[in-house]
Amino acid sequence: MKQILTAICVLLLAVAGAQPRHLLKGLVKDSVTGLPVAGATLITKGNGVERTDLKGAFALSIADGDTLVISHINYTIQNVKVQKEEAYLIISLMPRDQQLEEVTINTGYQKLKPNEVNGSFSVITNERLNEQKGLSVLDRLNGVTPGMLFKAGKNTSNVNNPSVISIRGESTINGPLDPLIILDNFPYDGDIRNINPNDVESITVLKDAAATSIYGAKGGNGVIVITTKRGKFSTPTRVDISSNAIITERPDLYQYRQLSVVEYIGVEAYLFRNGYFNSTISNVSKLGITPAVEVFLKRRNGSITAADSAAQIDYLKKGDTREAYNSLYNTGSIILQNSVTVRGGSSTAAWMLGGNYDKTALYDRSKNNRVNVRFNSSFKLGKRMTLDAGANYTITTMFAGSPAYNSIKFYSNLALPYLRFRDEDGNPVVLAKDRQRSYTDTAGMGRLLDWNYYPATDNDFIRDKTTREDLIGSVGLSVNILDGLNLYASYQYQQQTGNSDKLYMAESYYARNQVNLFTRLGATAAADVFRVPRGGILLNNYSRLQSQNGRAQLAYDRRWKGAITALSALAGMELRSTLTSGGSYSIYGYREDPLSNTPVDYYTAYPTFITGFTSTIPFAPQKSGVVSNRFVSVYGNMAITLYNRFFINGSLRRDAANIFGLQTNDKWNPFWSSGIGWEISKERFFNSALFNYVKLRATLGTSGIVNPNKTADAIVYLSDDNISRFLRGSISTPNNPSLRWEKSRQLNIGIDFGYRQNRVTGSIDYYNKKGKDLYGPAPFNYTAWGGASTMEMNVANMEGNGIDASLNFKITDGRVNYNTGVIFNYTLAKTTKYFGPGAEQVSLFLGNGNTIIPIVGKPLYAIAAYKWGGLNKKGDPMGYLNDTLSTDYTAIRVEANNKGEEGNIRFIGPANPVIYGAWNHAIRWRGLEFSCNLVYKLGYYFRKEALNYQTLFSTGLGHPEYTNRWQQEGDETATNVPALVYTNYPQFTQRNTFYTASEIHVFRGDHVRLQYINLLYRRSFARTVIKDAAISFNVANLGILWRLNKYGLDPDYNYTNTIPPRPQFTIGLQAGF
Amino acid sequence: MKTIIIVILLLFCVAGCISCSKFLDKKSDTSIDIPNSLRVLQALLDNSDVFNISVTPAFGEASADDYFIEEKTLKTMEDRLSSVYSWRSLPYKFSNNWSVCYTSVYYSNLCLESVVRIEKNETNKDQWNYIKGAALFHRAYAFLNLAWTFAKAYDASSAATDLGIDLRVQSDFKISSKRSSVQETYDRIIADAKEALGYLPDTSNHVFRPSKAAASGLLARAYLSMRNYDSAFRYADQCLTIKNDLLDYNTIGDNDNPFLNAGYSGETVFYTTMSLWGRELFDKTYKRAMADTLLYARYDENDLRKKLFFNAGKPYSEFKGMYGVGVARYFSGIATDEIYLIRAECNARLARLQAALKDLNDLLKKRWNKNVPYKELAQNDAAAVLELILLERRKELLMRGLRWADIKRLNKEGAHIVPARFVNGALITLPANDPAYALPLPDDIINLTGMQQN
Repeated sequence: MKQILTAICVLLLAVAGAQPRHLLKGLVKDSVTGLPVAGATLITKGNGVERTDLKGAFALSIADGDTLVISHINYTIQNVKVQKEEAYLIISLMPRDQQLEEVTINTGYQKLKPNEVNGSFSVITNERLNEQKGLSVLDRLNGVTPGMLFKAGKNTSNVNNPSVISIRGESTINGPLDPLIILDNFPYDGDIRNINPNDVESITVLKDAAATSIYGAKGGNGVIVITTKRGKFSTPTRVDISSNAIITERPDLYQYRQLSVVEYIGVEAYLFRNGYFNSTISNVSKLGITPAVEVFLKRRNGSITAADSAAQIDYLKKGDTREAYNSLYNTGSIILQNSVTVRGGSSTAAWMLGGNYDKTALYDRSKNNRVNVRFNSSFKLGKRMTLDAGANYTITTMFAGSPAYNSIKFYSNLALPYLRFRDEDGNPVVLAKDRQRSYTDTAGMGRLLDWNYYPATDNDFIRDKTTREDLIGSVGLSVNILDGLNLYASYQYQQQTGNSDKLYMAESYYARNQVNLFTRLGATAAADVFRVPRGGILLNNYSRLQSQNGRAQLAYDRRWKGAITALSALAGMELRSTLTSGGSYSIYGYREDPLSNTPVDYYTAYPTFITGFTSTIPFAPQKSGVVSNRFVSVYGNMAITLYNRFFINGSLRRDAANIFGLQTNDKWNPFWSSGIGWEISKERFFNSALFNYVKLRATLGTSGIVNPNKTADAIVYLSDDNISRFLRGSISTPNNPSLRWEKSRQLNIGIDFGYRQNRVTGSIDYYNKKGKDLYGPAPFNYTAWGGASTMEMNVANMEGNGIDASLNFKITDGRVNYNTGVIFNYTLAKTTKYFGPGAEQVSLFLGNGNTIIPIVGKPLYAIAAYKWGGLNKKGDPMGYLNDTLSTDYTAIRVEANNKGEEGNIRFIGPANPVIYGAWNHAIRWRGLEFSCNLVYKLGYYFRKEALNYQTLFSTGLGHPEYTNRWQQEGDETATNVPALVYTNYPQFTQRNTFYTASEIHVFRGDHVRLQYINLLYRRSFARTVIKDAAISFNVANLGILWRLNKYGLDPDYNYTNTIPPRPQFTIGLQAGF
Repeated sequence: MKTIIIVILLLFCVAGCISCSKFLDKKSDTSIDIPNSLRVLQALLDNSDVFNISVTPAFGEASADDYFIEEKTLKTMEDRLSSVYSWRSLPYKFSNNWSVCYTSVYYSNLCLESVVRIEKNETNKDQWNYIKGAALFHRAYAFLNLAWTFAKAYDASSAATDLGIDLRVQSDFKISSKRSSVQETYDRIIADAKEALGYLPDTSNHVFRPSKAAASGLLARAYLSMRNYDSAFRYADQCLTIKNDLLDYNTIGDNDNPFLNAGYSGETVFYTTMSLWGRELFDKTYKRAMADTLLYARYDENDLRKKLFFNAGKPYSEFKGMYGVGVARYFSGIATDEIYLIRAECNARLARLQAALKDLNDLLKKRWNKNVPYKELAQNDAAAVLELILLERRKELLMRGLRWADIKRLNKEGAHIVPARFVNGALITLPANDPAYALPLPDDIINLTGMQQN
């Protein structure tokens, strides 16, 4: 509106003024390359719009003193005031991405110019982030951040690394591995999915110790600083809207590695003949038996004929669990993301108001809605004070969907490949997964509820709703006390609440089962007692997280001409407190409308229906303990610039926390760092026509982790004894006063350069990390405390070396711009010392390489394998014992433990990529932009899934290589897959582990993946309400382009029950007003 | 203006530093605490997962002769289990009977160390005494169970040199492990249990909590194992003076779990059940074990135990008569029936035959079908009375974690009990007083501590 008014005024003035006009000619060129810019738009107040021709030339009529506005999609807008009678003008436009180098580095404590920083960092701009789609802001860092590794698909069970992100490899063995996330200057405690990627202005990743030491104990794994969009002073109001639709096909269940139905039923028949199911069949709990075993059992009992049995088995063989699950799913997933922001600012106030609405409907029929509203503003109060205030509110509602593939299991263990959820006529079938039908059909003489489970419809009677609310409010006051001296005080409050309601309606299997289990039949039906009342069951879980952060910081910034060019110092103090609480309750006999529920007795243990074993009614209401973490930190940082080209900086920080049971002196933990930099390109002797910018820099810093178990007293966890109802205390770790802090030290040496006016820019960093006194599990004499056989102690030292490098090229002929960037990372961390038994025991690497295992001289994640001696004439896998072939797997393992690589195992290599990085491309022509990104991971190994008969028997999950198993003498020349044997076979368990851990299953993991391709068309408009608009099309998860293993395996998704994701298509619209 | 701001700043800093230490004193989790109050110590001693449920060794019972496994079943079992059955256990590691017993030893030691740091006064003396007594009791109870399993039977002539258990009496895990002698082991158990008597109340308000009756029962067990029948009698008698209830089996309905609700009341003086390691061989859930046929044949038709203790089957019957509750229900605690039998045995051995027979008859009457007249046992021959009592001890206390210690003890008395088992088509036996009666310690413990293996 304001713009329209302004425009009208200008127009009126132009008409009224009628100033003298003259012809202006000129040339528009690229300020970096010097090449002409074609198609640039030139606007004058009085006259219309002109464009430059192919040679960048223009000619127009202009009034004296008028301002010429030159714009081009690839360049920043420039205003030129035309002097009287000026006839020829050369205008240099600054390329847009040139601006990127002007971005400031936000460390969360201060904003710095890139050339003044001696540490190692990467800045990811909003544009770069938007080249990738998807809901999580962290996922968008993949492939665009030097030094950062995403272990996609890697077993995420590592509690120390839930984000699966690592920056520059590991610096601890047993401690937390996730980087610290800072949102608008404060640590973010909530769910990262609550941060909408569209709101993010930029992300700074801090990597070396000098950059992270200011974050103290939590910064040891690197820091990701997220800065959200905000308003700016003295800018016109602007409205941005954007909308994305993300579409993915449902997962291809046929990718799961499993046995064919016919083979699987064959295995079941084999097991049945050997008596495998006997204990299940006769179990007092009347455990459910699989459909095939049910047929075998009927045949054995003689209740059906051989012909009937064969017919029924044939029918089962036509079932397909994948089809059954697909019938519960939609064909694909759709995610819609919409956002609107309004920003503006006068000379005294800047503000931003925004909202998002995301709607997700996944293939499994789960639904997810997220609404976000946020606001932030800055006010200048007088000349010396600025007040900031902001608020951010997000509410997310999630409804769970259908059961995940293979989650419906027989007696909670066994997933079958031949399930049917409906019969030929489409009627729901009964699956006796928990109890035998022969029992449930007759139990209770008809006075119990239907005890059958109907997988096709059961989910219709379950409503699983989770609501999460996240509120962040902050205020900050900045006072300019003296020239250069600034006081900044800020406070942030965050509250996240979660509430989950799982309603099992009266018709659901869960509710019927609970009612039946707690039913006691009386002499007559009227005397029956229902301890769990008939009706629905509502299970509720609630949690609350509150965090408060306060910071007061005094900063001094001054610039001079002379020896000391600049001095900047800051000192501050932070207080931080987080409070977590929660609880759960259940409601029985629940009905929503009209509302009704029935109280139950959670206290008394009642005999349950089937076994008579007593049990209390589950899910008694309870409240969890209030966890309160408090931290105090003091920190200081100083940087001096000498002669405009030498940069020296240092920082110091001490942290303290309310770790329970710790002596006060142990609560304080110091960190320091220092750095130097030298901008050689500013030296007089540096006289290179090629390099316009060269800076050398080096930093050194420390960090450390204190273990909460380092207590003088044993810590007792209190709860309620579920039988005696006394208060019960338990000790999860014995007190170990001799534990010391983990210490780590990182050295970083780097060079930044710009070549030919920044047509090529890049930086190379070398780093060395040393960790001392690292915590690790050490075998321990459990006679002292029988709770565990290992205990955490200061057991290891490690050292890691690495290189992060990035190179960016800009190639343009004035019309077409091609930018390409290469990210190269090398990192390898090895254990240098390990105190305790097993320090050299390479046989500990006989696993999947998913966990850190400290072995001296070896990488932290690594794989070793048994030497393979083929199959023998009985189809048994053979290893080596004293260099001769053997099937004594127990002895083989003993030799592996004792002799290691000297004996019958082979150390293969690291299980994490040693070299990784990305190669991204962007081609821009007028408003059209095409970008794509290749991600590579090299120099590592992975263990392929293999057939394990024990796993197959107990979980039903097999491997298709079963088809090629040894079946008769002679097969051993053609196959490596061992013969099917029963559990009583000599060393059955060891035989399976030997085979799966043998070298024939280990392959190189090296591969190149096409991370995404992105097509964007952007256009600016001169005189319409819409200022600019863009449409984009993006495809992600495009799969592997090249791999070293010959079997077409994707090393990132080769774990049990994981399959590669389907391609993801996104259409996006953006407009600015 | 500037001065004011600077002053405010300085004040802020000073105030900040002072309040810091208070700010950091806040307890980080309301559900955690340190063992510096009687409330917390009591809570530690009330942890039923440490002291009551699934805690006592089952290795001995798995090695004893109250059950057997058919060869065809044995063939389907894993090596680690079948090797235990054939008395040639494969090396084994954490977790096991050893780790479970020493967990309760750690808790007891921690409580004993902590309670003396708390002042005893008029208001807290009952709880203080209970904690001291209970911790001593639990430690002695664990030590006795360990000695029964991992040490040779007590023999006064060799006890000073026979290898006992690690007598760990401090919570500090840096103290290294060493094996004491059998003599030292029993001395410690007796001393601790006697000291506990002085602190514990006569009875407790839950069978999970020890009492004077329980400590007396423990002393009776320990002295019986030492074949000190005089002292065993004294403490059995003291226990029965406090509690002498016996269940009338006529009131127990016959079903798959007849004593389901008897474990927390009835005859129980102190409740424990056997831990999983070793129990897998004979636990009814796994459908492997059958009752010893000769033993089963000794029950009279009118002896209610025949129906209530066994699921009669052809050709073999299965034991179902455990006093425990829930899944881990193989009761191994102290109950009055056992104490009656200890008192009877001691009386018999001390030639007080009438008193011995009275206890036996009192017990058996409660096991007899009330519709059939009970015929009092009478006998004048000391050896015959003892034989009667030992037979009834076996019939009454099977699968209670007592038989292994009994075989060892009775063989020292010259009973010549030789367990025999069919394995791989051959009959294997374990001769009386064989060193293998001291069962092997965990392999990893031997490797870490350098203690001598049995």
